[in-house]
Amino acid sequence: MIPAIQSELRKFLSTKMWWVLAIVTVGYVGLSALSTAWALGWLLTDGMASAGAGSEDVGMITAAMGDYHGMVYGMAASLGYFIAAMMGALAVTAEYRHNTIAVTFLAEPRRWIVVLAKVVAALPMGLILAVVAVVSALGLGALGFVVAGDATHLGDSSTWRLAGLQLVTLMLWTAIGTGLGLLVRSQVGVIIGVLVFTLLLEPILRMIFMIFESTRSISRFLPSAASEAAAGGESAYSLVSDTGTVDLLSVPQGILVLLAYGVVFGVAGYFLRVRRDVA
Amino acid sequence: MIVFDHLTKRYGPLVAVDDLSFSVEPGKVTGFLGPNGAGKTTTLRMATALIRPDAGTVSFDGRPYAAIPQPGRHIGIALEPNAFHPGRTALNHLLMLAPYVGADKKRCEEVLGFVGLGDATGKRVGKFSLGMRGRLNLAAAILGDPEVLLLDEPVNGLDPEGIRWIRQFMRALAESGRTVLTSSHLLSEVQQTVDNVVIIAHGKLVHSGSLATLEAGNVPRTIVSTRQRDALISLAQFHHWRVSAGTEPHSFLIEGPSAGEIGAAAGASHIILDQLASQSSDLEAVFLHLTEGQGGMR
Repeated sequence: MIPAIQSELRKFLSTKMWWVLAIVTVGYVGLSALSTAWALGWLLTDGMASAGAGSEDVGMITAAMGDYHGMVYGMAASLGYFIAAMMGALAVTAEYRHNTIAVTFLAEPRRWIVVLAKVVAALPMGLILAVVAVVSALGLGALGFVVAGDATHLGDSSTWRLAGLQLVTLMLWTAIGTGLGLLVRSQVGVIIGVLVFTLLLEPILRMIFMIFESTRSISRFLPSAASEAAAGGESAYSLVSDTGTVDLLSVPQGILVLLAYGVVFGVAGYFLRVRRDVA
Repeated sequence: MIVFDHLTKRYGPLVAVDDLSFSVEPGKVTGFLGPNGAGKTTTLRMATALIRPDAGTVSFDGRPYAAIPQPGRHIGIALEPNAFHPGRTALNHLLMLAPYVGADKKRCEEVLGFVGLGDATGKRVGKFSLGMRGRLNLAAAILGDPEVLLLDEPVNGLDPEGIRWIRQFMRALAESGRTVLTSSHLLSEVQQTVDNVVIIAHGKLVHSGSLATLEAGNVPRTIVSTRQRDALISLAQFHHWRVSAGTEPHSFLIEGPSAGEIGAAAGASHIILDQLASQSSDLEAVFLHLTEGQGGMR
């Protein structure tokens, strides 16, 4: 089992995929955090002042904005999760694409060990991307607040709790991606699948579920909702909720639901795909 | 000893490997021969648990491949001609396999040097020629210093120098007591290297034994031309020769007698022969003869 995990990590680190995705993460998460922090920071300081708002108005609006620092710093997971999933998936589909999966199965013919090793190895792989994402969100987000003249709240314990939870969440997403890759096997299929599901299908499903009282509790179990719960409760969906808040699971529940997705995809991948002949 | 025991694999109506049984002796180089599509690759993949047989088993000293702990330390395999990530360097390709056989970086470099890739360790496999990929595949196969090697068409894509090298490589392995099973669609490719041959066609065994037993099956083949077709055919029937139409008009292929016997018999029967040409009856001809028919001698 340990050789298999070591082999998976060497495979992962010996191609350029991980650092390409790390750069994408810095760009997407970091620049989003930077621009959002800058805009919000400016709006609540100079922007308000130049519009002639009094300190009472600013206080009221700031309160209505809620924890916008958390929203910016939470972008590592809320924006970065599909990159983590993609990374886990591509690590597997690259093996099928270049047929190195046959070499792997020759080295370890007990395929369930290979599957387990891939899912376990996804956690440290995910940690690399997670650190990049969290550093980008906190670093460039804080830079945005500084430039706008707002407080950074970097020293707050809530910020560091958020950072830690996001690391865990992104590691789990990499494992979920690994499971998906085992199930889909096709490189193009998994890229399109992850994008369509996370950016299109799931948001629609979630909104539909949130509209009806009877399905609202189910919406908490959708991957993005579980992810928000696991990452500390920041949700972009509060804007579309009639109560202004989103019903989410607790942090441990969120982590367990994400873990369950990873396990379900991995087990399904093993039984439906991995055991087949490699021709 | 590798034992292939009543191995069968079907793909829909096609029987790719049909009740195939043979064994591979230790310490020898065995050529696993057959035309393209005969089922060689499928057989080797069933031996190594990549493909599940519909029936039958393959065992290495009594154990199936999947039951051997750290199989790479006992059985070295070069089946996939092109199973490399193009962005990975040669050394990294071996390092990724190294944990499975307990090899360190030094061993990986040593093996790369041994197959003649010492100068290309840091080069990406995407930039490798077919011959270099073949050598890297062999490096991966011997990484765990196995006592058995299974090689699928290892000569493919190699330049003449590479072909000479791999022949020496296989001989050296056998001389050090290792067992080598190497497949090829051409007998001539491995003729100088192998001790034994296993020949299959249409998934069935057609011959298994030493090269000498194959030579014993060497039947003379002669091309004759004559305008007296009926007379020639009745002559062939009288002598129990196998006769078939040749490639040219009025030409026939006769198997069994030597050219001299045919000439004498034709003269005695007053058949005028326009051409009487002995076919170079090398082992390749025997091989073709065996694999063209639907499984002749066993």
